[in-house]
Amino acid sequence: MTHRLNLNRRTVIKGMMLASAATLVPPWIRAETRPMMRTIPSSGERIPSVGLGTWITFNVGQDPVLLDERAAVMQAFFEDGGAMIDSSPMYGSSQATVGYGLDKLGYPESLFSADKVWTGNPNRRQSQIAESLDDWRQEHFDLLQVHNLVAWRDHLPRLQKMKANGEIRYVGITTSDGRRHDQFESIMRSERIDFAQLSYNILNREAEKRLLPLARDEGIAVIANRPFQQDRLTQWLADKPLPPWADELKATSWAQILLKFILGHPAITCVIPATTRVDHVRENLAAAREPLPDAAMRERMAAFVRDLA
Amino acid sequence: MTFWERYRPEELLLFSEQVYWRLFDLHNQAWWPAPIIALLLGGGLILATVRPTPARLRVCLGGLATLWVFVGFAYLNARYATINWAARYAVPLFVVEAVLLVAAALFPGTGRVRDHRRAWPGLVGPGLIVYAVILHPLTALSRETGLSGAEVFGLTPDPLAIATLGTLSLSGNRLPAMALSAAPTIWLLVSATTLFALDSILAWVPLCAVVLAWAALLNPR
Repeated sequence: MTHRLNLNRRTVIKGMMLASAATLVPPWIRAETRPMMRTIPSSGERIPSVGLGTWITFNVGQDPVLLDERAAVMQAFFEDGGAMIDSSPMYGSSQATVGYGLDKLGYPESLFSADKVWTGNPNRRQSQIAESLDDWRQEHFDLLQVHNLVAWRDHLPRLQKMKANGEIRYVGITTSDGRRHDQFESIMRSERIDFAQLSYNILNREAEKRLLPLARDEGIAVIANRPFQQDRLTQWLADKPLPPWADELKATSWAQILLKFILGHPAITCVIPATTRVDHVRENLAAAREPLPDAAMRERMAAFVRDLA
Repeated sequence: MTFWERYRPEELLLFSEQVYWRLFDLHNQAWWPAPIIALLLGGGLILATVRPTPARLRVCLGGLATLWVFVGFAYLNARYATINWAARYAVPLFVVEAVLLVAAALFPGTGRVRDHRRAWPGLVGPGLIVYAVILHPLTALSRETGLSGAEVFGLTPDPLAIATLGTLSLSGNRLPAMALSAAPTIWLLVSATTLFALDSILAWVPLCAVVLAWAALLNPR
């Protein structure tokens, strides 16, 4: 992963101490507390299957209290084995909040930075990417995606060129709702992309029909956004008792059930729930552990939630 | 499909209610003791409009013009735009309103005060101004920030727009008053939409202010 080099004596000593401490922890314990990894088909690189979204939650402006709270969320995210953080120029100050957190945490090496190009003006693209990097306080992004397919015909070739030049490592496209799936599918078939980001959750399974099978066929990694339909799903389920089969999945909350449902689909590479709370980010990462539901169990889960509605 | 047709209104809401309300707290801290000064100015506006005269009305319009410029730059551009990039697009609206208010203050005919001020349309203006200056900041008591996060007249857009509509509804020159009411009305409708999207019951406040003000503006009595 390519990030700003921020080496100084303190960072090096801290890194050496952490590395030494890590070797003292038995490997089976470390494995138990890390989220499961998934493979990016185009490269074979493995990344943790739960990331961190920033839409709404990280748009806190210059509020010093909230900036520190979000940095604490990021700290817990990295401590528990998270890597992918996803943002966009569309999300207000979210990119700058991520940059603040990364700076405060000493630029964790495990970061997988995913950002987007969001402009209808191709001439604005390069300056927007530069501003995004500035906000993130990074020199390169790992993944750049065309946000909501805006001006994709102009942006995709340029992003692919950036990848060829080594300026970014992966190229992707995104959609954040159930619309435009036809166009999304067509791009997945015709263009060379590494990632497809789409909305997918236990009540919004439209992507299962064509996009997820296609992603497997074409070797495209899939990022699932809006796993909780913002927080509407978790709020709606909050006062409902956990189903009896939650124990079978080793799920201790509705959020974990919803995430395990998504991760149970073999085409999903990474799910990116957004949160403002440290306990929730830890809970989200903990969902990415065995056991995950098989196809039959996933149908049972979806039917249960549907019946509650 | 154009750029903006790709989005539903709720997809353009980029911040949480907590972040939105905390902005006022940060704004008041950053400009302290301006909230006190603004309250005193608001008190002056109330006194001037309880028994309005043409001269008083014109002075009020000139004072409001200054506040529209200040709120446009100090709040919308410097504060709100940090969480909502679209806020910058509203700054020209505030500047245009300020220019129109200055023009109105300089034009002698605009100062003509509405007749029959004891009839209900005449009472709407003072009522809106009192609400904007005194009662609206108190809505902060229902939030986690308390009064430190109050929306103060003269420093933030909603009470300023409400007070402006109140002042304009006192004018006996209805057509110019309606023209000057366009910008505050647009802002309050935007604000109501935002608050509805945030599921805040306070969304009804700007909406009711607009309805009351226009009911008074359209009534010749």
